[in-house]
Amino acid sequence: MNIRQRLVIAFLLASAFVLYPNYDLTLPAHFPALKYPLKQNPLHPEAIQLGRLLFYDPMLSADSSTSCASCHSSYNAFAHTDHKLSHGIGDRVGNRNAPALFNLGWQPLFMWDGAHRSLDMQALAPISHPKELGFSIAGVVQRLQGNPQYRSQFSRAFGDSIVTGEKVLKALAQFQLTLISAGSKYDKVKQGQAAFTAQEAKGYKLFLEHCNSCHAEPLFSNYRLASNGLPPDSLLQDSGRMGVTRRAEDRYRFKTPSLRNLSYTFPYMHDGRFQTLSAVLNHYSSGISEAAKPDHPLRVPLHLSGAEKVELISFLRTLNDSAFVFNKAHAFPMELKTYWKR
Amino acid sequence: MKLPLLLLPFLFPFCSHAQQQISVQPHWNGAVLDSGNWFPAAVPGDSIRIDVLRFYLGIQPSGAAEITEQHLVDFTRSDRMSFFTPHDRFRVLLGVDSLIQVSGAAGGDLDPTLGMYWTWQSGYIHLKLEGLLRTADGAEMPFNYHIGGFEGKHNTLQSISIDSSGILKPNLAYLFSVLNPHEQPVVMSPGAKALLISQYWKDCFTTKP
Repeated sequence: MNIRQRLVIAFLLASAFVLYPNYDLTLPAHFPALKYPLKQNPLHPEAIQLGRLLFYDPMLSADSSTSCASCHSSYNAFAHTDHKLSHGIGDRVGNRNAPALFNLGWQPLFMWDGAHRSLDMQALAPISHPKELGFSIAGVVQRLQGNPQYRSQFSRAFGDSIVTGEKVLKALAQFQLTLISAGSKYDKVKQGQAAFTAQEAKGYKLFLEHCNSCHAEPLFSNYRLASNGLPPDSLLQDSGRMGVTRRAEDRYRFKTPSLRNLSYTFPYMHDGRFQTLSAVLNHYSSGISEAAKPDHPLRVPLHLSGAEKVELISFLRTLNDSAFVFNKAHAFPMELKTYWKR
Repeated sequence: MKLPLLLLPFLFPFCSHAQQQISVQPHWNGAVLDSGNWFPAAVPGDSIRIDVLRFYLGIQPSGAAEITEQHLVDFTRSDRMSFFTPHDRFRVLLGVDSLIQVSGAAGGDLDPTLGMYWTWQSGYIHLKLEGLLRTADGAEMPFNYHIGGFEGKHNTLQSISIDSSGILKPNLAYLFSVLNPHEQPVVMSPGAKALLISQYWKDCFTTKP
């Protein structure tokens, strides 16, 4: 091999590196190992950008009116603040509160009832649900294939412009994997960069004593399914996990949500019934319903004094991550507007 | 250089992979199963029309721990009624491997745009069978069977045998001799009913006309 040939090969290798650099997902040192199998969907900046465009694009809904972001807004930690139940196309109201989206790479199950095991595939549920985006993945693929800008973006992300269901779902998953919330005061305390106030420290102690078995730090959830004793809603009649497994013991079991970013994600619970954290703590103190067959840790009411409730809420506020919520890399991509000019 | 070139045709067979063709020929007691045709059902006077018959075949090579190939068969598309496998010794399974079920988005025959993935929960539909039942008085009622499930005791993945011809001949008449759409017109979620139908479906492949 002569020098010219070597230079050509070196140039091609360098070009490949520039065109297809891998995206290095920064994993918080105090988090456990990532559950998402990155080897099956290696992150790429252009695929992440494609996923971001898709996440915000109402083209994913049947009538092009509603996007994923309609119910998962970045400034609400990707929940839908002040909305009890999700809103879909045609002003249709769903059956559950839109869950906040962050730290998804550590979650083994998705949806309130844990119906989906794969971050990639869970997007099929909102795309096709008649009360959400009301469309189909086949329809989404056909629509995107007809858009020259999307074809170009698919080419940059995956090496060719052919749109497939697999690529759409993988791109959406890649964007969502970048939604990592680990910049709260709690995280800074864990990293030795900040200290709790006396009130927060007392709240942390109460948290470890009463809450950590289900809302395990540092993700602030064990992501298991449990009944937390909420009185069943006679209107929604949501049986939770039982709707998936058909097992009576799973009635009223829902996935334990993370307690991070609570100031941005109210109302709380799977049906958004509680507007405030005080109302949540009151439920655990005196609102547990035996009819909902609460799981073991909640069979004993949480007897907290008024001062203790204030301390616990003070600690929970240290889990707010404003850097995550206002991260512009997660916000609406202004270039998406050019995709709509057709 | 000439000698190695002359040897190439003799060496080539040892370098290539054996290709085995697998064909699927669904029938109704020996009659070709065409969409749009009515076939006599087990209940006298009733007849059945199959509109959708789509199912997965998995190839597990001898010595492999898992299925390495998944093929979607669709009786309305001739290009989906046969395929080649590079393996000469393998096991054929009806359905999608449980590892694939939880491995995220996949392409090709497993692309979710093909309508064989449950959107409301994890998992591929192993068998999608839809059609109409017409009773003696002319009334028509639809039936829909979306059979799947890969967890625990309701795992609907079934193994079937295949002979050297490479031809699979499921007899749909058998399925409707043990499954009565009058009593059970819809099964579209995993569970005991789906498991039972997956066992009937397996038996279709061994039932002779």
